[in-house]
Amino acid sequence: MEGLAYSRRSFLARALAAAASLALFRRLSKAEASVRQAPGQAVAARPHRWGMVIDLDRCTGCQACVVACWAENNQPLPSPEAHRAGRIIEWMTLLPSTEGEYPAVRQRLMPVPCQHCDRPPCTPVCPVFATYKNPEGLVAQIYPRCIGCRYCVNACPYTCKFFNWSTPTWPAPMEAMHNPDVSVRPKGVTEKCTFCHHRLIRAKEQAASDGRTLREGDYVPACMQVCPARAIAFGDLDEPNSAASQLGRSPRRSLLQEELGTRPKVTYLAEA
Amino acid sequence: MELTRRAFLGLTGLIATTAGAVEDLIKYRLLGLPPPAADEELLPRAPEQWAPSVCQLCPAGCGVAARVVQGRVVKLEGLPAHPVNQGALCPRGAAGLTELYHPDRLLQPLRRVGERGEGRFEPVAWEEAMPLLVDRLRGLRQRGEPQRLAWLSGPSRSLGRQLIQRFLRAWGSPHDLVLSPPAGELPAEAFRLMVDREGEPLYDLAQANLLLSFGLDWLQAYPSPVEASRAYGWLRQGRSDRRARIVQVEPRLSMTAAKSDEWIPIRPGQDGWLALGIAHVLIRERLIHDQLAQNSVGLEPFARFVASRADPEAVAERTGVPPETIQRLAKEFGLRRGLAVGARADLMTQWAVMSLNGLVGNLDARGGVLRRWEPPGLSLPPEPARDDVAERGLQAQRLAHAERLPEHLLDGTEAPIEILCVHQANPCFISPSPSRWVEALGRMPFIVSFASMLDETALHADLVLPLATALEQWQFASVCTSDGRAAVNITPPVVPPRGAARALEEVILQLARALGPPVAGAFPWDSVEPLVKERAQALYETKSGTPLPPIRWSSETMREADKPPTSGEGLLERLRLGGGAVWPAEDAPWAEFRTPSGRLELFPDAMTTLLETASAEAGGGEAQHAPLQLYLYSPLAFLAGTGAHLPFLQQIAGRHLSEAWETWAELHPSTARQFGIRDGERIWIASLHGKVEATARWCEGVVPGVVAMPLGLGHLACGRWAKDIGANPAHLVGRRLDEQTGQPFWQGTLVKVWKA
Repeated sequence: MEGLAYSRRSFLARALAAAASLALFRRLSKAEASVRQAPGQAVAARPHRWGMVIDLDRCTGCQACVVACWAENNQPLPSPEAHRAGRIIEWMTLLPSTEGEYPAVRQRLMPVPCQHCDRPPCTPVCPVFATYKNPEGLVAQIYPRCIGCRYCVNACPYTCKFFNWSTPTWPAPMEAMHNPDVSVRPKGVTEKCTFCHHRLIRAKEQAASDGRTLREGDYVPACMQVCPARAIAFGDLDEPNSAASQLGRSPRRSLLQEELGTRPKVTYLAEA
Repeated sequence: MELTRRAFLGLTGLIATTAGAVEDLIKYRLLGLPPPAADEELLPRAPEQWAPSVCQLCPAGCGVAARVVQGRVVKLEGLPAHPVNQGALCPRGAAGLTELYHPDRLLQPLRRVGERGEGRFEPVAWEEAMPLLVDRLRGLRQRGEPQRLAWLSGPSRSLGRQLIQRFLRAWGSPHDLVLSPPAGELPAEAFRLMVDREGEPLYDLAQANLLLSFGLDWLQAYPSPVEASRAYGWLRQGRSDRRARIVQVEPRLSMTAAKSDEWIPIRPGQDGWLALGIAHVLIRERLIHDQLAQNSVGLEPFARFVASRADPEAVAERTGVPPETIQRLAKEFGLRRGLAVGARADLMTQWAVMSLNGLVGNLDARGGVLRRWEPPGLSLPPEPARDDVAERGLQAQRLAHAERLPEHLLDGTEAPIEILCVHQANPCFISPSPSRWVEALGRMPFIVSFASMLDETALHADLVLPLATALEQWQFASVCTSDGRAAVNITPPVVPPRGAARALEEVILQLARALGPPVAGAFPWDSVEPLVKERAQALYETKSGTPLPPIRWSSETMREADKPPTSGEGLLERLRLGGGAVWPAEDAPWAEFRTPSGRLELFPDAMTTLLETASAEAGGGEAQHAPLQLYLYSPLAFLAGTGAHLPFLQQIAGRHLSEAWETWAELHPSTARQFGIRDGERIWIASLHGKVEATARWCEGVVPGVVAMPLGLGHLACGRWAKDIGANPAHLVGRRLDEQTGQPFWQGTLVKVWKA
């Protein structure tokens, strides 16, 4: 060992140098990235904070939102096998609950998308920074970065993260109906509701080409768009006049498991 | 140089850590690639189009906007300006693309090669398939027996239905048979007897003050599901005036009952008697409309009948609803001028529920019962004169009810049918004791199925013709909204049909042409497009209706839309951009009662005879062996018994119990314990007519003594997602039909259960 000119000290030094150089390069490329992005951005606007309000007094439990979400986001097709294994992927789901005894029975079906928490429990546990909260408040999942450890799936108290246990397949010719704006996730990757983020990108592009800032209603997720009872409102929570902000101040408001301190951006309005 | 373990590790670590940085350096600094910005990722994009069309997964006629990229339809959304769905869709509509791109769709005409029902077919070309049918039809006509052709359809308001009716009239057969689904239709027969002999009712749900539903699970099984949901949202949070009250009378806590202000559990099949009990109190307490005596006939005998037969105590005995509840409901209903809604059940139930609206003056009124109407200029031109063969054929005794067909065929008493065409109906799956249909179809000389999936009935056909689905064909049909507006859907195909599938309308036109005169004379169009053009011209000449705005606004279409069309073709262009036109409710030709008396018929003659024979229910010895009552319901996913072939709909059907891909039976825990059945166990449910296996689920929301099961599962065919999934409880139901309406008694079958 003595003959080798490779001491603990030199190893540490080299490792440190490598780490420092890595950090430097990363910073350089990032700085450049932000410079490069600046002119591409639409008419500079203050950041948005996207949020949703679900009015349970309007909701009829029809599940159009669930199906529209499947169709919009290229989610794997449900199957009896996946159902029995508890591995159905549905970014928007309906949570059933029944209480009381005959004949005074209450039954509820509550639509639950990702709550897009302001303090998401799922992001700090990700070892590879695949899931993070973006500047507009959306809890995002970068699929190519995800290593499938499922820490975030376990950390989410709302069970809104879904793991691809197998390669999703669509029998021919069903791939034809895939939304070209949304990538198909491979096996071994966790996925989740994005508030139809691809629609935000489109809305921003449209606004930029029209030379204006985003307006209320430019960006609408598929679940809200399809809802026949008009039970879902969506918009910028930092914009006090948006429908979502206004409804979100209703005395009927509540948050799912508010006590956890996750600060969800999905607000529920109770049945009156 | 010697490489130790330590050096190796150190070096690989160094390489690994620098590699990422070097890669970044090369990619972004040297090659100038754009950096990854995960949330702003720009995707390569192909040009896209948006085209209007119409959803055909139920007869409501919702307008859809199809997003088309490179010839593929990638998304269906609601048409924002469409009066029926106003930009929204129900889960069925949202699943529409899985219907279009279903992997097991029929793409080729099939000819039977095996035994009937064996399911062995060989694919043939249309050029071979059509003569098989045409030759058979010619044979009938040469023998002068055109009445031996029958056409069995499901409920539909498409152009295809109009063409079928026209074809049968020109051909000379009176057997235009329409099969009713078990749920999801409104009480047309009672409406025709009491209000309008040709009319069909609409419920103005959104404006109701008190919505009292007798067994109509209107949030799930309704002729226009999107409108029902929208009305609910509006009743709850949209209206600025007094909050409406919603009351649901049903043996099961359905979705509607769960969302209602009050659920009133009732024994299956007793809804009509509860309505009569309420009528009793309304009349006794003088809560009826002031002008009723002048506007109606039959109030006297009606009052006498309910006074003698439907006092609250007697009704409570029958229905299991306490007399105080009946009193309270009646008072609320009278004071708030409620809207009583019911399903297309047997005539007695239909009449009892409809009479409540008559008593409080809620017929042809906002927030009450309205009528379906059709805007001018849309109906097809009158047919040319028929020949003698057709005239004689049309004189033949018409089969009264579609559901009676198996009995007619098996008894052989009536003139047998030799050729049966089936379109959008699947009686071998969704009818009481479907095996009776299978047996009867075994005796049918020739069956032609027009279908987009190989369903149970198509399995028994001699010839299966593959149909195009909604987005692959012209759409031309009038629709009516719950609030009384009318509209017409006019849209061209969005994509060409898959495989060799053809639109039903095109096939009928081809059939008529192949048969030659005189049938061909009634169909002067080469294809659907000239027909639609001709109608657009007629519509243009009426100068009525407002075209829907173009589906995607651009400055170009906006300029176009500003100018009024100056010709039929111009109008058609406009209609194609937006998907149709709409007429306000004020244009509706309402008001007059079209009954024999010209007034509201509260106690039609049909009822007098019916009620004398009514209430003779099965019971006695049977009840001891089969102590439970069966209650069948249709989840929205399986509306009209269809939808199980689409995986999205399978997954959502049993959400309230987290059940899917399986038939379940809901039992009250007390009932289940009585039979030693635990939650989640497999059980048999058996009646006199058949038995099925299901998963027992304990459910507080079921009347004790009732077994509630969903219809729609248990297919033997219909593609990979439906075949052999679950069981079909239709096998439990007997073939007793209501004489007046031909509706089967779906509810209240006596059953027993035991552990499987």
